[in-house]
Amino acid sequence: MSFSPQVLAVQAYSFRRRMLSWKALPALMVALVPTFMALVFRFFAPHEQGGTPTPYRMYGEILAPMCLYFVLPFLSMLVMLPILGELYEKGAIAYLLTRPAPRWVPLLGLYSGGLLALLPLAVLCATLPALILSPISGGVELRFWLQRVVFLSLVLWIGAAPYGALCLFLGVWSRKAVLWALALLIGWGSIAGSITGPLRALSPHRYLFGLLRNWLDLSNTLGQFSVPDPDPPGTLLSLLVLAGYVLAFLVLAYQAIRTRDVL
Amino acid sequence: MSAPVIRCVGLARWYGEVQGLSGLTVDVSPGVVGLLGPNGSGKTTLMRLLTGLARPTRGHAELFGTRVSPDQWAVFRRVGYAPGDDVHFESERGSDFLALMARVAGDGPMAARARARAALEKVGMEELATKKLSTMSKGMRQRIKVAQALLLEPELLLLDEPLNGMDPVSRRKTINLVRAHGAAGGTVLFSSHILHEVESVTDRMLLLHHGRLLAEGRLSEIVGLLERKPRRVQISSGSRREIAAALLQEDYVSGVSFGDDSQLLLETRDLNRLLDRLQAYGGAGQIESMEIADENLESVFDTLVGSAV
Repeated sequence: MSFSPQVLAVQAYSFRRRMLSWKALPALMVALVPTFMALVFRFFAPHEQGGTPTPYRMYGEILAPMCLYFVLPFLSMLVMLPILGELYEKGAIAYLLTRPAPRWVPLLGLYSGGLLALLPLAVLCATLPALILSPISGGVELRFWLQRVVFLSLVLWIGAAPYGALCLFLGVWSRKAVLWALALLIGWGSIAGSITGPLRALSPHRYLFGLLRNWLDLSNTLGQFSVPDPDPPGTLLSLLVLAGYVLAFLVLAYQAIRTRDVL
Repeated sequence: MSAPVIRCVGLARWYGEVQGLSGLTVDVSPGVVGLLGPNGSGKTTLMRLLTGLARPTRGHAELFGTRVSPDQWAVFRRVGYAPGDDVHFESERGSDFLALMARVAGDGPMAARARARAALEKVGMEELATKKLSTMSKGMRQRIKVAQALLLEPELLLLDEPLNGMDPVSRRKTINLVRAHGAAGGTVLFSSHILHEVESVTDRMLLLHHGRLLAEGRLSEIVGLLERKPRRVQISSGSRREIAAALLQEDYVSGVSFGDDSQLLLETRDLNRLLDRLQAYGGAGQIESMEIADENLESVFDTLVGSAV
């Protein structure tokens, strides 16, 4: 028996709920932060003085890592955390859990709908700064800009998958999901994944940064948002580890949805 | 003999130190059964335990012979549940919400739409189907909840306070739906904390109080439980002082009080003997009217709850 039509039905609902209502506004504001920074850079940075990065470098070495550090965790939280948490808080999850379908059906539908809702936000987050900076980038060809925009969008969206699955799990498992999400996404994600130490290897952030380096052709050197990785992960390893995290968090969320009471 | 539709075996649920439901053992066969009790009596806890939304601390529940658990989802094809909580799918239109529920149950898009339309017709909301839930009144959302429970044409309906916030016309419609479902061989567990709501749909009931089953059965059977409880009879008589003085001599009369004008309120532990005696006064033309106050369901509930507190 195939449950994909059921999953798709919930996915469409989840997407509508996150994207086509005022609830999308906070996430949209967060996604526009790099655009704001690009505007400041374009109109207020003293480009003629030495030491100011070129617009192309600004995009790749400052804005893109900053998106991973700050924008991605908050976007994931704002979009994915309420998907299940809100339904539980209001008791509305009861309607979905008393359908003749296994509980992983609404879980997967809600998750994939949220992930879809994150795609336009990731694209927006990567595209608008490039549109602002590329006209002043001098000799950099458009294809290089396009390449960076596409890959940054992709890394952000791929990053939303494990972080989103983690948020989904936290939304069911804990009534203090926001605190847990902040601790885990910022602490275990952005911070642990970018500093040296044993936790780094376990953090999804390290693998996302690995993808960013490989796809945006960034150097593995000390920069404003980059601590060199002595053993940088390759693209395949990064994708596999991130997929593993998605699977692990979804399994945990499924266990939580089977055992948490709707009160 | 076939298995009961609902079976609870020592079903208990504690919320930390607070008792939600205490060792409930009961079988429910087809028909409409009222689940009656004040707020906090365990009605919603029972509904949630029956739908697998909460896990029992002890005991278990069965629906159609299947033990309730998150993994036994197939049984929900035969169950329609209207939770007490509001719908909270605010961004959805009424028809979209119902179609979504049908689609999650396995219907294709067209079949789900048709099913949603049919359910909306049943609750008389076909013209309001395109209104968003966020803009609907509480009563309208209640009807959407009932429509959602009816969506899959289930054999068992679990309705948690479905009449809350409904206007009189919607209440009548919903009451008729519930009765029709019972008359057609279906089963309905209808919870309410308002006695006349339950009385309007059935005379079979479970009375819950502080998580305990206080009484179970038909209204007449429950009234029978009152045999040893004080019962009240109100008479109107021009000779009420003489009658009161005479009756106070009888051991089965536990109290008398005087009301307005010619009213006399009598309290007894043996209603039959008091009625025999009053019949004699009536035969002599001394009693103008008589009312057995305790035949009212409200007083049955009050007495039972009062004795349990």
